[in-house]
Amino acid sequence: MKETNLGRREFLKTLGVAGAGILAATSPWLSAFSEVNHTARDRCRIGIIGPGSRGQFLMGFLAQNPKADIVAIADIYQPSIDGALKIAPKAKVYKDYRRLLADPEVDGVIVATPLNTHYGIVMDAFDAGKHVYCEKTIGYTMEECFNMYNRHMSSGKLFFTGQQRLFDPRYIKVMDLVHRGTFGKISAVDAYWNRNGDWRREVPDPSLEKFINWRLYGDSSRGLMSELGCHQLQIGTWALGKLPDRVMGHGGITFWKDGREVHDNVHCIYGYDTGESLTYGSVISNKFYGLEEKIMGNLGTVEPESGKYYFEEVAPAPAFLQMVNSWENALFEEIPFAGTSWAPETANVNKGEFILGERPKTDGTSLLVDAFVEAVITGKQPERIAEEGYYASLLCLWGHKAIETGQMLVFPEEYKIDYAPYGTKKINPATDSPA
Amino acid sequence: MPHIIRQLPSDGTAVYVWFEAMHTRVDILLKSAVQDADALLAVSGEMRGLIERIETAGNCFDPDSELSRFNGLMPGERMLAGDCLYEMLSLCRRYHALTQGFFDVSAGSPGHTPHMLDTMHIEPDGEIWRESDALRLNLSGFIKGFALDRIRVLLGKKGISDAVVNMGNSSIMAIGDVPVKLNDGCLTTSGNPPGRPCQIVNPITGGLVMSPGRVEVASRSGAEGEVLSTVLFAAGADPEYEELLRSRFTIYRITRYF
Repeated sequence: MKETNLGRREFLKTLGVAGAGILAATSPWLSAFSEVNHTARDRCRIGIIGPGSRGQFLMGFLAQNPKADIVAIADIYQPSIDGALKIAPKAKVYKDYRRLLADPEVDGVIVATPLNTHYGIVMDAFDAGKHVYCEKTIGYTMEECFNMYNRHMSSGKLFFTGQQRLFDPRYIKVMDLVHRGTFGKISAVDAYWNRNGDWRREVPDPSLEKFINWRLYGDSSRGLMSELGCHQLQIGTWALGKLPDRVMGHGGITFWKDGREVHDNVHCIYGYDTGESLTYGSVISNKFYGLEEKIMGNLGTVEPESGKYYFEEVAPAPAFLQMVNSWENALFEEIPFAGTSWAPETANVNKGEFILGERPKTDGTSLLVDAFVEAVITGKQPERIAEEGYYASLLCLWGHKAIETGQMLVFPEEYKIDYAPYGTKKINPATDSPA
Repeated sequence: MPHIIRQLPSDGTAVYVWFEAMHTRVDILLKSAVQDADALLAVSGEMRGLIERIETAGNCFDPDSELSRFNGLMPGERMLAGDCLYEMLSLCRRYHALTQGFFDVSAGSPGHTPHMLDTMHIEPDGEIWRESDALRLNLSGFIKGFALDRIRVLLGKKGISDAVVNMGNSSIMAIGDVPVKLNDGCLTTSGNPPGRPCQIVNPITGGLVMSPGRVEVASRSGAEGEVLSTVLFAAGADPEYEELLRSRFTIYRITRYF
């Protein structure tokens, strides 16, 4: 996806809000931008661990941010290093990430390596006193995620995860509407991500198969659950405002029987103690329904990916939506009112309405990276951002475990963290650890 | 109630709500620089309640409405009218006189005569009754405009000065700093839409007004707008009559579409 940097002012304008404080209840991590004016002349120094395709994508945003310097990169794969140096020619190059972590000129790191390597790198980074942005899923196991979160808490260092929807204007607006009750009582969230492709990357040498295509192998990836599901499961908890307490799932390899070890179709049902359900499915041999999260309330449905919402009974009037969306303009066109009495206006076909007036220029990734830069400069951890990433990772790993075991699993108490509205357990990072 | 809330760049709040009432859809847009979204939503809820109370009082298509009960009274039998119905009937009688009989909510009665509305009796103590069991009142061409006037009073009490209320596209009120420019007034429409059955009776001839087209009236009052658009359509283009109405009502604009 081609993205452009979206300034904070334009971002908030897109949302139709006057300031970040307006959305504090729904998206408190936007506080990352609260001191953006005070930090105008400050800079931070970022190191990239794993500047492969995703890492270079993130570097592209850093390169556009005048407050960020990409001072170092670390990778063992020369093509990735070559590509990264095109974006940051002055960056120091390390083959061993630990040397990058020992570099005192690095304030924070972005970790965009294969899933199974996150844990060691992130724990070392906290120990080295670095702030951390880790791509999702953050850990290979739930225990790893728990330990990473606690190390973040005990170290006092920043912890961001690659949940870019947290900064996607469509999702922020949707959650504001959902939490205000616009669509009534939300009973279910149905999320899916379907593609038709083998999910493989070109391998220059067979010996590099597992190194390049690490997503396809069980010792380095949790497959579709960790690579795709992590994004969308977070939407379910964001919308419902709580954590599910049970999960069941199924998966298999039905089409891409090419030696891969991870499933090419997965489906999970997450249940809440109050009855709501969050379903997730991903199939990579059929793309007809594509990618979406259907948030379903008794008054309406929201589909953030398509950027539209639908009301069950009476749709909003286009002329009023035009007024609402354009109120800031002093001059208005004549709105198409006026008919005769008792004329029914309810459309037979519900075509839905757009969440935002125009398609946003960002899916949130650029703003997420910008937020990390701001936080590294201020040293302030935005509220709930680490926790959202933590639970998103746990839900996908928990679902994967349900698929693997074929059992209905209950959410493990030992992995709950103190995080309203989810948390039930007080954590003392100094003494608590999972059994 | 479905709604959309928007924080405005000027630090104000806008709330848009919509629902079905009075056989059509109702759209309400409120704006305030001092009241927050929850307060505006609460006012929207009161507005909806008011509209529903008015509909319960004066919807002749609802067999349980007050008006249906009146239409079924035995000659001479009395009933106590609620404040909404009492006011509506009082106003309809007044407008009947001011329009020289062209505004006549009894026009659909079987065997209607130009003076049939005089058989409706409104007593000072709140009781209403009818002399003839042929008298049938239909407030369809009036009730939405009346509701708009009541809503304006409610908004004034709640301290909201910027609002747009649209009832089925035929009765619209826009007050304050809003995109719809109606000089703090109402826009009402009457006529025969293409492809729909005729619904307006010429009270003088007793026949349906068959001519196509519609009349839009912009006026201060929603109730008066309903009266004016109805009689101007029923009476046809008559400059002398239009001048009479202009002398008796506050009319901003009259637009005819034929």
